[in-house]
Amino acid sequence: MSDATARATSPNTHLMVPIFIFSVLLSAAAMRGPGLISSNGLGSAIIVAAPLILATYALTIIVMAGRAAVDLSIGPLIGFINVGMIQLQTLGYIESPAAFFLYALGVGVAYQLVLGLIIIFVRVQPIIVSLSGYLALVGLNLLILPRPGGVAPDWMLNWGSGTSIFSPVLAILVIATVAWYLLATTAFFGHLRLMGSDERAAYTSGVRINLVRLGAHAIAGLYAGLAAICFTSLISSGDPTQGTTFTLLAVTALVLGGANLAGGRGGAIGSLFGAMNIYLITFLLGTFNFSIFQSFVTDLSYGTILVLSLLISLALPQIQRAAHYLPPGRFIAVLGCIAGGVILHAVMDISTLPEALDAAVSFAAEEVVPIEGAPLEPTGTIILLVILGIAAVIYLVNLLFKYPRPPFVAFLVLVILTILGLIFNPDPVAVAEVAGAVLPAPKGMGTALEYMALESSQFDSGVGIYMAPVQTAGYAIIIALGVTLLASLIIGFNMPGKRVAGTSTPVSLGALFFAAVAVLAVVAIKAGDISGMFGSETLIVLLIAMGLFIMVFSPLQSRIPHLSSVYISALGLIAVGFVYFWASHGDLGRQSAATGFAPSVFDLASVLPQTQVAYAIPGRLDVAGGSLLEIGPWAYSILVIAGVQFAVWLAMRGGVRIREFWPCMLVVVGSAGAWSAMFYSIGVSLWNIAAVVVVCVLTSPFVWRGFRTFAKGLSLEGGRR
Amino acid sequence: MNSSAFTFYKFLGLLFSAAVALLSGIIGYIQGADGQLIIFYTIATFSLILWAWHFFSVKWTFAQKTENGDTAIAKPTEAETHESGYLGQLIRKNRWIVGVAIALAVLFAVLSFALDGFFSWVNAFIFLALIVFFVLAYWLSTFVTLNKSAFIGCAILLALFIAGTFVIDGFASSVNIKTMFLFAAFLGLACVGQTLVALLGGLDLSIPFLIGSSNIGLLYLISLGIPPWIAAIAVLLLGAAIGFLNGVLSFRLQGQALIVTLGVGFAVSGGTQILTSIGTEFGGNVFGVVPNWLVNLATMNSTTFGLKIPPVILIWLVVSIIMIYGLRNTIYGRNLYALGGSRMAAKRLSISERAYWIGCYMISGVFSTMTGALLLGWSGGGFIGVGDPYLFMTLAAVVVGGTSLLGGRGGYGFTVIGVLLLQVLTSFLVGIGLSWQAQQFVLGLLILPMVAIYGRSPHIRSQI
Repeated sequence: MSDATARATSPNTHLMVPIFIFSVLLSAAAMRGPGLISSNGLGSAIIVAAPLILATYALTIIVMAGRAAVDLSIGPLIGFINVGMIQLQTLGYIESPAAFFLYALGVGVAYQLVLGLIIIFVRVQPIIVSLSGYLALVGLNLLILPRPGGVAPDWMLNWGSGTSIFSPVLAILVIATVAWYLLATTAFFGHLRLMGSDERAAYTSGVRINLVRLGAHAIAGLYAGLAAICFTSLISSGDPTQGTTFTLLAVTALVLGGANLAGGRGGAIGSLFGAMNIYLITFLLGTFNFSIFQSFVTDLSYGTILVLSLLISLALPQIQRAAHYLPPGRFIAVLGCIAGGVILHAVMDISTLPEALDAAVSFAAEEVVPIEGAPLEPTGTIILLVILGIAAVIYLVNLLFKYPRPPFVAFLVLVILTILGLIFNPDPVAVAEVAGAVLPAPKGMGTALEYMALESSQFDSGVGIYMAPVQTAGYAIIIALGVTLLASLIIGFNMPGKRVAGTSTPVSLGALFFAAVAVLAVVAIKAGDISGMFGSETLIVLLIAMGLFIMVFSPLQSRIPHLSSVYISALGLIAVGFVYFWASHGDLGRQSAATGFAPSVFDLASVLPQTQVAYAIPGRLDVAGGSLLEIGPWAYSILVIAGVQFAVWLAMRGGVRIREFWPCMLVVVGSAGAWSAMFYSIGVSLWNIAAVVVVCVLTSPFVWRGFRTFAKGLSLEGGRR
Repeated sequence: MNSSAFTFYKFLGLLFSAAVALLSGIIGYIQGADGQLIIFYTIATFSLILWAWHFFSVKWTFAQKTENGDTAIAKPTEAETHESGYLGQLIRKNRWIVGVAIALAVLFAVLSFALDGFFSWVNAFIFLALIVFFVLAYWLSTFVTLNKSAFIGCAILLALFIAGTFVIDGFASSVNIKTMFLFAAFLGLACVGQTLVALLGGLDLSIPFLIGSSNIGLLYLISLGIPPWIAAIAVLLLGAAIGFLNGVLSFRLQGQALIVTLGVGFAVSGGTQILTSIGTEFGGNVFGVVPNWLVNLATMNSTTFGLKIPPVILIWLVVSIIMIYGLRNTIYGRNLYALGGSRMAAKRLSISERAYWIGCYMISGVFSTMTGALLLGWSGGGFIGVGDPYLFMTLAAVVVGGTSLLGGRGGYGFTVIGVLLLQVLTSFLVGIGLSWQAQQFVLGLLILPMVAIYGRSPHIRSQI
């Protein structure tokens, strides 16, 4: 089994490009406009992106059916459903939501079926059919509704406000995506892919290709109908021309998502990423002030990114060969950590700049926004996080039932402890005096999760955990170093080169490990001068322990196939923990004077209209004469990676050949990059990063040994020799 | 020809003569002729036509068949045992034609009821004549084996032109024809590259963006003080450079030409607009003075060597002749077809695939920018959106003309027919007073049947 699972990574490699672009764009977007990461920001993002995502789904399934059948008429079709809907509603023919949905889905399906029937029976090239549909519908839309107007029905009006994440549009989106996955499990889907990649083969092997093609068109019609509904709720009116733009956008999104226009390849995830990339590009460009150039710059970037992503996809086979050890899941984990770090940096560092605060406050004063009594609904992101957490837990439980082994159970327990600690953090809340003003104690939940959500549940009380910063942080560093070194020692002792993984679980090792963790946890609690079981320090220790646990046991429990993904995620989690509990709320390495009260700014930003919040310039990038400062971190990261590699090389010299470890190299480089980026982004001084990396370098030989055993357990090397 | 066919033709003749006789009777009645005369002439017309019909068609063909020893009268053939008459067979054999004719008739009826003032006897007559013409053309086209699409295209062109002359005042006037040729010349020049690329099996969607970009780019360069002819050459060279990029990328990314060229087009038009609007207040619009010679190249009133024809039409003519001749008779043209037909075979003949891809896209880039420059002369002011209609029109013209998008079949001559067809159709639609939206709608609906007449791909079971 091991061989198969390890090598079965190729089918989704085309997702790497969209994921990579997505993480880069997301990081950049968060830097430029931190308002994106809030209830308002995410809510409006969903509303705006939903029609595009659904249109891309519709296009995807048609493209998958082959014959280079890009449906150019998808945009006008959305516009057609939209204007028809508005006109029918104005005339009073349809009123209820059910009628609207029936109408939209029905028209979408009917149109697509006609298209499909023409393609099948008239046997003209699909692109011509869709082209003529495009021309006809563009004209028809303008005939039905000559200029934008009309009003969406009452029940739909509040969909498009975009103030909350959990809107009906999100529900539609989720249902559509889930429906795609249900569809993907059917035989129909298999037939569709077969037909898309080789129609003759499908025909000769007895697939009823006409029926399959019609089915693809019908499903595309459903998605188009949903897209039209979301589009209508977005603009709350009828617009005969705006829908047309979706054709080019959706085709672009499709390609950005890694689908093959020749057919056969494509999927919901790719299209989702592609569409979100398009949205992020628009968002990102919107944060710059190009005045009259705005639309031109947008065009330029669409075109360039489109061509670039195609070029990257050319290099895909090479990437695939080099990175066959790196499945998309792991890739997402690494990039997600980096992007998360950047987002944290953006919202914690940038928005706490005094100017931003001042600007926001003065703006609020001008506009007489009643801040005190403002109805805040900041819980959206919290709920989102909870849902994500539940999904993760379900995944873990699923793994648990698949691989019921003691270490894994222990791992789960640790995770649950951590989560509980995050949720019910009973750290005493200090009423701190800052700049002479006494800030009131928070009236909110008083949990660490608030900070995860980047919003506080009460506007006027941003004060959360307040630690005696330097002292605690110093302790924590020492503890972390100790834990890491100790664990490395344990690994070193227990990892003779000959042992093949999976044969036996060294119970003694596990016992030793748990003992060490327990001792360290107690030490940490005592040393950290924090009363209470789930203090922040404890959390850090637990997080570190979790990471080390994975490090230690992954070689031994190589039967868990996705363990190295979990490993990298754990590294990322550790980094996130550091970020929150040291860098953000302690004084460790923070250069800004306004410490620790970041969330309040965020709340203010979410009260204000998003476009009117003044975005601060990233502090570190705009220091006077800062060209060296800009280069510095990059040089530093390169140095870090080079150093790690060198250490690895040194360590490998005796007895173990580096060639065997070459596939693992990407993992190490990725995690080192993640760490550095994380720390840098949060504003930790270089000293601190250096310390962390020294630890990393010191432990890397052991990690490498562990990987070797891991690889042996999967008998990866067998094929290479 | 069997007896059932004989019966069918006999009754058809009867019906036809009766109809004509009735028509003549009605006309006589309307003109207020004498009753006796009307009756006399009606009967005379009827019998004469019937006799002529019988003599020329039925008797002749029937007799000829029987002379050959085909004893059709005595023995009923297989077809007759099926209970269905000859009419049924005929309809079944030509079910597409009949279906389309009926659909058109229904459409006509619907339009007559839906639109006020649409229905008039002239319209109905023209409509009927069109249908008859199409059926005739279709029947004729069964005898044409080579370049069928060109034949059908010409037939439709002719029909449209005749219809236009009937319906619209001044449709056949020299001014209108000149206008149509002028616009057709722009479209035709823009289609040069699209045709070449389509022959290879690619697509070039960057054409409209290049047209728009060269339109404002040229004016921008001129307004900077660069001599206009240098600016024009520079723009053409830039077009070639972008075409080169298109070619390289499309060749590397086989099958994704649609997206590559679209992306390049987006980038080019965005970049050009940024460049030209730096330092100005007007995003996307450039103001400047267009040189006289450029204006003279492309406006309606301009003359060529004293002739009252805009030079752009002559340019198009020359380009068309070169293209048609070049594609048919030169080694480059034949290689192009070889590449489009079978890449593997062409490769074995050591034809450089890459060179042809790049070359075709470069030509496309040059002609696109040329169209943009000429359009600048025509309009006298730079506007980025000037190329927008060409996004689908170039594609439509190529396809309607009969060049396959899969490569290897077609040619520029076909595209010329397609261009003229679209242009006459557009003029016709404008002439009968349709708004732009309605034109678009009708155009979209008409492209499909035009392609469907000859551009159908074989059934999958015959592809294996």
